[in-house]
Order: sequence, then structure tokens, then C-alpha cells
Amino acid sequence: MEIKQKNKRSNAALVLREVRKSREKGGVLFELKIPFMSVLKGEFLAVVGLSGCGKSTLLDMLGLVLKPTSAREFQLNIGTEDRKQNQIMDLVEKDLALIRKESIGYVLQTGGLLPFLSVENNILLPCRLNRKRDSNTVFDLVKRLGISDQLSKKTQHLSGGQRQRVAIARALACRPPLVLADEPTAAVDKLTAIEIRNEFRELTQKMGVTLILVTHDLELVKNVADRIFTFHVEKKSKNHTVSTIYERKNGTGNHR
Amino acid sequence: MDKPARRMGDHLGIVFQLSRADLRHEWVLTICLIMAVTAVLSPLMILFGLKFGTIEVLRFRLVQDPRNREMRPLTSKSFTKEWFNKLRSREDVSFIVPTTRQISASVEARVTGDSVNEVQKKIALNIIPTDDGDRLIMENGASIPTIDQCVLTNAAAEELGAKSGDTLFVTVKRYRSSRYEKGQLSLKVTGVLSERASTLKSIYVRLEILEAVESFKDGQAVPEYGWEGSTPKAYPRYDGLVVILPKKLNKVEEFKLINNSGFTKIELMTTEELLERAGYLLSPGKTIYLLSTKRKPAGNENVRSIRSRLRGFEAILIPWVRGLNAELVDNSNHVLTTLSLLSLSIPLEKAVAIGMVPIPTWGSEVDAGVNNSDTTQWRKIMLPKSIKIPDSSVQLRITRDDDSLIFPVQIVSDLVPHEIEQRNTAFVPARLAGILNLFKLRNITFDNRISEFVLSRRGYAGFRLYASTIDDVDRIRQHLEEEGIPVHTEAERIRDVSELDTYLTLIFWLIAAVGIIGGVAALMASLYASVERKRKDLSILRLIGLSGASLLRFPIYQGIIIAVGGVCMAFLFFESLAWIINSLFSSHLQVEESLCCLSIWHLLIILGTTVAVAVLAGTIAAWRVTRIEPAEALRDE
Repeated sequence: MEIKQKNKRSNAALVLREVRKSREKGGVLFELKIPFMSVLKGEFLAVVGLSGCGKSTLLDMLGLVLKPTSAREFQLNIGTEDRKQNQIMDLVEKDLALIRKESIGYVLQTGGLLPFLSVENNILLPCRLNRKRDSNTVFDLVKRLGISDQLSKKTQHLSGGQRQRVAIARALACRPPLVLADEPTAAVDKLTAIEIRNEFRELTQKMGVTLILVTHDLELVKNVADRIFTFHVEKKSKNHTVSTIYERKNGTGNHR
Repeated sequence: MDKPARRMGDHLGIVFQLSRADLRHEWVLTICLIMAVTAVLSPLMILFGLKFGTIEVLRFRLVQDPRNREMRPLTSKSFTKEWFNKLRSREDVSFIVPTTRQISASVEARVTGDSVNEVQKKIALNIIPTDDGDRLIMENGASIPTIDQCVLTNAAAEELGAKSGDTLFVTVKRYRSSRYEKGQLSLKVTGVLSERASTLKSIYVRLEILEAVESFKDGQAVPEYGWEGSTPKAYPRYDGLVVILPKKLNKVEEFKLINNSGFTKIELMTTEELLERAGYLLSPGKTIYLLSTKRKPAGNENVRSIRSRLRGFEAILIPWVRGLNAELVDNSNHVLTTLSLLSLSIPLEKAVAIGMVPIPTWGSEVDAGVNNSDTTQWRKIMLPKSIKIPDSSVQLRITRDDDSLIFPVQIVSDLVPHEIEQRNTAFVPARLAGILNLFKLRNITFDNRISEFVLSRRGYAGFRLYASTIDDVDRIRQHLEEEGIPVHTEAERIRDVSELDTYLTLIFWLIAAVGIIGGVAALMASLYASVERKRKDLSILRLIGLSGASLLRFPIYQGIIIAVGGVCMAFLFFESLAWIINSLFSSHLQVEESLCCLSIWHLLIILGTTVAVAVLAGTIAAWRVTRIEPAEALRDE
């Protein structure tokens, strides 16, 4: 049992234990509690919740742009080095920027693409920042995502679905160990959303990339994500809301 | 380069490409910003170009025309050779040549005809000295003439019908002894000055010719050109007069001796004091007075005046000079001995009567006519016993500053007794002592041909001076005025141009300050607004790993690109407008002159300043960039 636990821990891309983040906005205190959350390498983890439940706060912390108020453990086991909670807590912006650049890919709601760059340059930007250029990966990615014909275009000339595909290509272009996707299909129709989800899932699975997808649409990830986390929101008082994250049973449980 | 530094360098390259791509993406806005910079710079460049061009045209004309560097004295004074040498050694003086008195600087000239019967027009010309390095001649199409050549002004050449290569027949006239006399010489015309050099009818010749003309007009002979006349003989000048009387004068009689006699002081002396001051001894019982002058030395006329006032007093007069240092040299100019010369002239019988020691063998020549040119009678010397000169063919040399007077002298005695010898004291006739005393004040030469002491020219009445640059003119003017020499210069005109430059610069900077402040504000606001507008894009860049330190260069690079674009556009506008302005005023401009122009240095300074201003404006916007959090990219989605 102990060996299994040890193997599981070494295989974890991310371990969060007793992490708490408090934020005050307009006199209302919002508290996000994560009793325990671990994400295994190559796992597809979905975080589902309604507006205001703390999805963005969780994503900010996972994306290393927001530090938790307190944490017993915040272990990031991606890249070449283990980065434990204390290190994460103590790291300065410069180091966090380096981890973001080298180890995390982002897919944002409407793509988060830069309008002044062509599709190709948008996709290649993280590789250029990391001084990596894997032409085969990029070529394979754009081919599989069906955006080979769009490379020279400016992003504003793309449809919503194409834009998200470009964002996925950019997030995966330099093979980061972790990809965070924030409502990647919110701006497209249901059919396209399913297509994008499937392509995204296939690519991350094939590349062995850990995917954390945040969405409000449980149907999109139910029976597709390996595990699903959701929020229990409790209104302690008029001005104090506590949201606690826990694991649902709707996941495939493939990585368990 | 270490790894982080290289990474930073790479990021800077990416940031530059990103900022360039963003400007290209928003090209309409970018053109608007570039035009805004152009709108600020173009009028300033035109304004500065006009100011610079105008001032440069004025300065160019001032610099080009040597007349603007010419300085002439407004008063006539005697300038010595030493004074000229001193001034010539100044770095800010490019050229200086002495001039003679204006009244002596006119001649008549005509071109020598091809045939005897051809009558050429004779005109009066100003004669002006020139010398090597004369800017007026050299910068106006002629070369410096030699001693038998001349250069004419354009007006003179036209009037004479002369051209380069012609021979000019020059006539100098004087009025002497109730009749007109002429001196003539031929000069070859080597050049005609361009019209701008002078509007006067003038002839430029070597200073020696001008000196000859002046000497001739003063009635003197000029043997070099065969012009006859007198010789300016040197005359004796004494510091005082020893008066020996049988009895003392009363106060009134004493006063008479210094009242309008040329002498200003009378002293009663003992024989010891006489020995000390004049070097000779008398037997006791005589009354001895020393009449002396304070400033102006006395001449023979003053001695004669005293003689007439003391008629009936049985007075003996011996002119006196303060000790004169001289050297006896042989024919090879080797110094035989140095001496202190004293004046002594007295008739033999009178010297015996008053018990004088020593007794001169040459008697008294003071009363002899001043026109007596037989200098051999008084070019004599009595040496002390201690000095033995084996060869009697010796010369006496007396030196003053860097000039010396040397002439043959006859040793008539070397028996000055020991009892009166004081530090190599020798005696010379009073007339010789007087002439040597004059040498302290005037240049004298001994003309061996006529065995006569001749006065050299005293000095020069004026000068022609050229400053090295127009900026030196005012400094030299101040220097000369401090010496009490008011001068005519073009300093006022030069100062006017400098003042115009100062005022135009001030006006330009006032306008430029407003323009620059407006430009900075516009650029700063635009870049700041651009950062605000791109907040989301910049936060995405922060999110995917660009550090704040790298990204803050984003608006700075954009500012630089806009500034460079603005300068290039402004330069194109400036060049076009400057071409139009210069074309419009081309009829008033000479070749190489531009009314509106900028130097390459100005363009570089404008580029540098604009880029610096853009960096400043970009830095304010960059400060805003550093406030953008990467979380904004996630949250704003």
C-alpha cells in the first residue's frame, strides 16, 4: 500500500494538500479550500463548476500567476526539477515566469492569441521564447488540428473553432508537461466543442501531456476526463463564502 | 555570454520583433503617430535650417571677404619694428604690414605704351604696401608682387587700361626749394584684384617702394631709384651741460639759465662731484654748475642759448651725457674692450687755464656748424692708460635692444690718467657723445660712403592688419584699443551677425521648446494609450513567460521606431521645402550658399534627440507595462 502510494506520488505532476486562498472583493470574503488534489502525469483532469465557485482562482494558482494564502503542500513535479510547495511559495516572479514559459501551456477561453502576429508566429512564439523548434511536432499538430491552410492568416480572420485549435497548437508546440485550458470551448457551438475536446484529448494523450481543463459544462467532460473535480459552495454568512473542491465520480478513472 | 544574459538578449530580439509586428499590424495608427512626430519636427527643422542657413550665408560672406578681417588704425602714430614683430607673433594675427603717412602714399601712374607716340592716360593712385601672406591680394585673384612688381585694384586697372603683364610707369612728385621734383620707377603689373577687394584706385607694392616714396616726398634722396635729395643727418642730443664760471651766480642769474633754455634743472657742484658725474678734474676755485633736462634731451641750439645768456661771465660750457656703454671692436667684429663713454670738449687753452685733467686733443667743436659733415674730426676717442689697443684701426659699437650702431673711430690718446679713470672710462668729443646719446632714442646708421651718421626712419604711421578669422577681429581690436590705438574694423558687422545668430537661436529654442513639449506629450500619450489598449495582449505575453523586464521594452522600441520614422519623414519634408526656398532665393545667393540648410551633424543631433525623447515617452508607458499582471490574461478571458 505504501509502495503504491510512493509510486503514485512520484508519478504526480501536481500535488496540492490543504491549500487555501482567500480573496476579498467588494467587502465579500471568498475562500477557496483544496483539501487534497493530485494530478498524475499524462492525466486529463477536468474541473467543473458554475460561475463564482472559484474556478479562475484555482486556475490562477495552477498557472503560477497567483500564490496561495497558505498551503501544506504545493508540489509541482513537471519539467526536470521537482518544485515543492515551499519553493513555489518562495519563488519570485522571474522564476515563476521561467516555469510558465518552459513547462506550462495555456489555452484560454477565446484563444488568447496575439492579433498582431500571424497564426504561424502565434504557434511558434512559445518555442521561440524557449529557443526550441521542433518542426515535426508543429507540422504534425497543425495537420492534425486541420489548420495547415491558416498559418499565414491573422488570427482575427479565423473562426472561433479555428482560433481555439490555433491556441491548442500554441499550447502544445514546445511539448510542455502541463497544459491548462480555461473554458476552451465556451465560445464555440456544441458540435465544434466536442470536436475540439476530442482533438485536444487525443493530442495530449499521444504527447503524454497532463491536461487540466476548467469548464462549466459537465457534459463536455463527463466520461471523457480521467477524473473530475467540482466545487461545494457554502455561504457561511452574507459576506463570507467558502468553496471547497472535491472529486466527483463521473470520471473514467483511467489513471487511477 | 552566459545563459541568462543570452536568453535576455534573445528575448530583446523577440520583443523588438513583436513591437515591430504590432506597429505593422496597426499601420494606420502607426502612420498617424509618425506623422505627428513629423508635424512637430518638420517646422522645427525648417526654422532651424533657415536660421542656420541665413547665419551661415552671412558668416560665409564675412569669412570669404578678407576685408572683413582687415583692421586699420584710426589715428596716426609711430609704430616701431618691435611693435610689429610683437603683433606678428600673435596667433590671431594672420598678416600685418606697416604703412607710411597717408599724405605720402599717393603716386601718379600710366601704362608704358607700345610706341613712343602712344599717349597713355596718367592717373593718381593710392599706394598701399603689401607683403608675403597678404590675404587681400591672395584671396582676390592675384599673387604677392616682388620689389619690381605691383598689383592694381580693379578700378585702377580699368582707369589705366592696364592688365596683368603690362609695365606701369610710376611718378612720385615733391615740392622742394620752391620747385617740383619728380622721382620715377617702372613696375610690372602682376595681377588685378577682383572688384570686391576695393572700390578705390590703388596700387599694391612692396613696403620698400612705399618707404622710398615717403623718403622722396620728405625731400630725401633714394639712391636705389636714383632719386636725388638730402640725407637725414643725425644730430647730437645731450643730457645736460657743465657750466664752469669764475664766480657764483645769483639766484636770478641761475633761474635765467633754466628759464626757457631747454634745461630744467640747475645744480651747483664741487670738483669731486664733477669728477663723479662727468669724469674729469678741475683745479679748485671754480664755480661749477650742471644744467640738466628732465625728459627731452638738449641740442646744440640749447647750448648756444646758454652761451648767449652767459655772455660776459667768462663761462666755459661742456655738454654732458650720462655714461654710454660701448665696445671697441676690431675689423673682424671681435670685441677688444668694453667702455663707459663720457663727453668732453673744450678748447686747449681754456682746459689748461682751469687745470683740467685730462685735456682733450680735439678742442671744442660744439660751436662748429652742424652742417660740418667731416665726421673724422670728431670720431675720436681717448682711452685710459690701462687699455692698450695695438692696432689703431678700430670701430666703436653701441647697442640698444636688438639694434646696434657701429662706426670707425680714431684713438687719439691712451693716456687718460689713472687718477680719473673710473671703470674703463673713455672720453669722446661732445658731438659724438651727443649722437650716440641720440641713438638711445632714434635708429641711426653710419653711412660709410659719405662718412656720415644718418637717421633711419623713426617708425611707421600705420598698418594694414588681417585677423586670422572673423572671430579674432574683436579680440585684436580690444587689444589695440587697450594700447591706445583706435582701429577701424568690421567688428560691428561681425558682432551684428553673432547677435542675430544669438537672437535667432533664442527664438528657435523658444519655439522648439513648445514643439518638443507638445511632441513628447503626444508621443507619451499615444504610447501610454497603446499599452492600455494592448493590456490583454501584453498580459498574455507575460503569462506565456516573457518577464516584465523584457516586456517593458515593448513601448520603448515602438517609440524609437516611430521616432526614426518621424525623423525620416521630417527630413524628406525638410529637403523638399529647403529646395523650394533655396530655389526661390537663388538669385540672391552665390554658388555654395544655401538659405535653408542643415549639416549632417544637425541631422544626427535631431535624430538622437528625437530618439531620446521617444525613449523618455516610451519609458513612461513602460512603467505601465510593469504593472500588468499575467493573471489578467486568465481573468479577463
